[in-house]
Amino acid sequence: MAATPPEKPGLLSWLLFGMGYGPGEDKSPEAIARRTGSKHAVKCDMCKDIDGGPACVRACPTGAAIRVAPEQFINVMRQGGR
Amino acid sequence: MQAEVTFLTRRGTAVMRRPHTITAESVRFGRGTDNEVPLADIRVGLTAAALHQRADGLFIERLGDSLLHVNGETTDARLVGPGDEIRIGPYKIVLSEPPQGIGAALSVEFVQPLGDSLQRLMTGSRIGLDQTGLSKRRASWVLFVVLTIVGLGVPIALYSVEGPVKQSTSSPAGGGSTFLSIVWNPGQLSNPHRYFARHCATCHRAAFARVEDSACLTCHSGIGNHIQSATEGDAGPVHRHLQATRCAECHKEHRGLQSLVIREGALCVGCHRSLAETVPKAEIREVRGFPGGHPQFRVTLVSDAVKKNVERVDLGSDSKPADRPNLVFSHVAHLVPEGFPALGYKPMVCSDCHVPEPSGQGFLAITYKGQCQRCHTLKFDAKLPWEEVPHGDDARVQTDVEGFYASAALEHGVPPPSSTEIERRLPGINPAPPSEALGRRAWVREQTARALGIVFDEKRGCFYCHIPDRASGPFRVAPVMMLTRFLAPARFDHAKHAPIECGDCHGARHSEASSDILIPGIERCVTCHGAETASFNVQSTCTLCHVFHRQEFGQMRQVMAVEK
Amino acid sequence: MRGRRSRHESFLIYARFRYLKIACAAAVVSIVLYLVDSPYPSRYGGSWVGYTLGSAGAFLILWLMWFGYRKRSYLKNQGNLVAWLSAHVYLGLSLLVIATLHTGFHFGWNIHTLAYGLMCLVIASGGFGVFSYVRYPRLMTGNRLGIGMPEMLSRIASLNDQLRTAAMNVDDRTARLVERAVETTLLGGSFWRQLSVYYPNCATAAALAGISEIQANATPELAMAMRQVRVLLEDQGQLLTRARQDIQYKAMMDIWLYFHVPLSFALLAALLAHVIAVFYLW
Repeated sequence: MAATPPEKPGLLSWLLFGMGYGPGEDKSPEAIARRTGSKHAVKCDMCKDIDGGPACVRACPTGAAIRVAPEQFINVMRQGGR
Repeated sequence: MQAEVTFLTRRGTAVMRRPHTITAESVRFGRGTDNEVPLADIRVGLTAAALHQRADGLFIERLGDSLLHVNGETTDARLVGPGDEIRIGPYKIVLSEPPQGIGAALSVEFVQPLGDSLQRLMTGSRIGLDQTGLSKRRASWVLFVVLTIVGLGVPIALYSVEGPVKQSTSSPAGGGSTFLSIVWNPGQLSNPHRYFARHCATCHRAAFARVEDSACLTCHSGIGNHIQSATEGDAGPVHRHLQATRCAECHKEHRGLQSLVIREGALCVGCHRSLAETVPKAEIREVRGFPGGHPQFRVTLVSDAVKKNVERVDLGSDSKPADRPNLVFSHVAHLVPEGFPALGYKPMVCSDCHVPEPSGQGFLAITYKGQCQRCHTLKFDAKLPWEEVPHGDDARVQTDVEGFYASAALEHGVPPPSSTEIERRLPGINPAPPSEALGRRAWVREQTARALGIVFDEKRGCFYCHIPDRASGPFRVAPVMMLTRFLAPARFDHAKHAPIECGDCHGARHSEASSDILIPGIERCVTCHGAETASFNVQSTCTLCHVFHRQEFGQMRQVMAVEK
Repeated sequence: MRGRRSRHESFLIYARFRYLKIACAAAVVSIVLYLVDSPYPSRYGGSWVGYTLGSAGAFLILWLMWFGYRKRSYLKNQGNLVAWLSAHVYLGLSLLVIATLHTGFHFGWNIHTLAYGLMCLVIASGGFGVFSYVRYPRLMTGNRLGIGMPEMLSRIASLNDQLRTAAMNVDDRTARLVERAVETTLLGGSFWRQLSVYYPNCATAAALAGISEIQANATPELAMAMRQVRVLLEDQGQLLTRARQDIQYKAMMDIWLYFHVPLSFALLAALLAHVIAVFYLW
């Protein structure tokens, strides 16, 4: 369960003028102060309805975030992280 | 002494008390466990203070290096009583009225907890560059705004204030803005234009508009055309092309100190390589470059001196070109090694007759008076070696000679036929009577005919050099026409070639006739001159010898009405 | 998952250097165009090749700056971000060739060369960014030894608590040293301190130095208490060093952006001024 974050202003207005809070700053004091009281359930569904696969992987600029299936991950572990 | 010590702990509004009674010589406070009142905090010294009971009351003194405060004041030692508040480190000790039999009563409270270490650590540390005062957003805005103002706003404002060029004169110096002319300058201005470099509007008359011809013509109004100017109806494709081309399309400013005058041959060759096809009437031969692709020179020669006609003949043509100046002249005859008496028997050199113009480019025209008269006199009477006929007007020569003898006859009378001397008459003696006049007239006529015969003699007189015009009379000379320039479209500067011997290019030493062409062909020039990028020859472009804007063709553009 | 690769592919290698190849092709085309055209009196930005290169360069600059917006639009579907970053880096480098040829190597003290100079600075700072992204993550992992910053902080906090207890039985001087080491633990701070790892007033280091001196003349009971304190202080010191090093590495990975982004906005302004100026006084 997570508290509903407050209304987010547009990306351009944050980029240009610093209005509101930016991406990834949900936990900043300002954002926390403006949280509404209610909470809702949050669960990762691996962006099953979004074209292109998991957004977190697509949004990683350096390619550090990758999604691996469990069986593949076991193999990766066995090979010592390769 | 006996003392009652109560440890207080507060939780919200509730207070927990834990009283102890201690018996000791004096009540010592400190971190060490051997103290009567142990204050377990690192901020307290091992033994911080001691409370003594003295005759005059309770006395507290500081021990060690810890600070001791009583009622807010720092102190080393003083008397205290009920109601006093003592601070040692984070502990507050309040003295109260002791019950019967007890020396002192005090409460001890821990009032400055250290707080959560992790909390303190996190709030006290600034981890990450975004926690410092630096801000990408602020820096970006500042730089963007400043550069827009300085690079765009200010120059536009300065240009608008400058306005169009106020002067209509040919010296538009002054005015303008140094800032604008530096910040927006895309390249060095050519040297001759630098004196108005500060005033951009001199050429750039309007915003977002290319530099128009009117800007150039403000000063260069009389610039010559490249081909003979024509009226509207006669304009051919070349006229139209030249008219439609802006000055600035060929003359590009802001490309360096020497950039304005075109030197690259490619610009000329672009049109001249095909003019023979596109404009055959112009009779301009194809030129594809230099030296390869440049045709043999065409010399301008006199074809008919009487009608004053000239023609241009290719030096390499089969029909050997000949000049017809109507003058008989042999360079060989004049360049004899033994020289001539009038010049002190020194051999003649070119410069004895060919005098350079003041600029040094070409030579002054050959004249009888300047070059020939020194040696070739026009005497007509052996008995009168000082008398010469005037040169230039053959009809006048006859009348002058006749007049000379006539006036001699009138003055001095006619000498007897056998006499070879002029009889001198004394002044005052009247002229001879009319019967003598007939004899006089015959004498004059005889003398004149004899003199003219000498004057116009082929071996000694005019016809030694001149061509007789028999059709007009026995003593008429055909007009002479001598050119000073033989390669009309080109500009040869003799001054620049001064170190070279005349004879290296002009074969005068072998010329015996005036019909000989002594102008060298292109083969002579290319021994030294090479292409634009030549390494071992003089680099030569079209503009080295040829001129684009030629005054003799009229004006390139109509003079534009100059803005006031 | 829909065919996502499950191995990490660096943005430099992405798609078998696809964007490096595109950038090289663009550079080669520019060089060929530059050599082919030979206007009078010299090559410059206003010839037809110059206009072509200039337009390409300006478009590239705008597209490169758009990356800052795209990288934060997490739900957009136009390509994944590794591809965008790979293209950004390589095409940004090709811009160096394109823009330099566009100048025709005419430079001067004016807004035009300023735009070019700012572009070079932006590319240089970006180059440092690429370098830092290749070098520092590995160093950070090597330094962290499995624990991250939050864990390090809580360990240091717990050491602080332990030190307070352990210092109960030591003499006053030691206690004061330990108190300072606990109260004024310095991590991070100004951007200069974060980058340089220069902590001249580190209380922990001072405490360790002071304690050696005291230990030399200590009584046996005191010595035992002091040994305990010393061990804890050394632990704290090592953790602080690791944490500070981690902060430095992170700062090195961030600092170049404080040049790259503001300079690119400066470039944007200068570029605008350059283009408008060229046509204003045509």
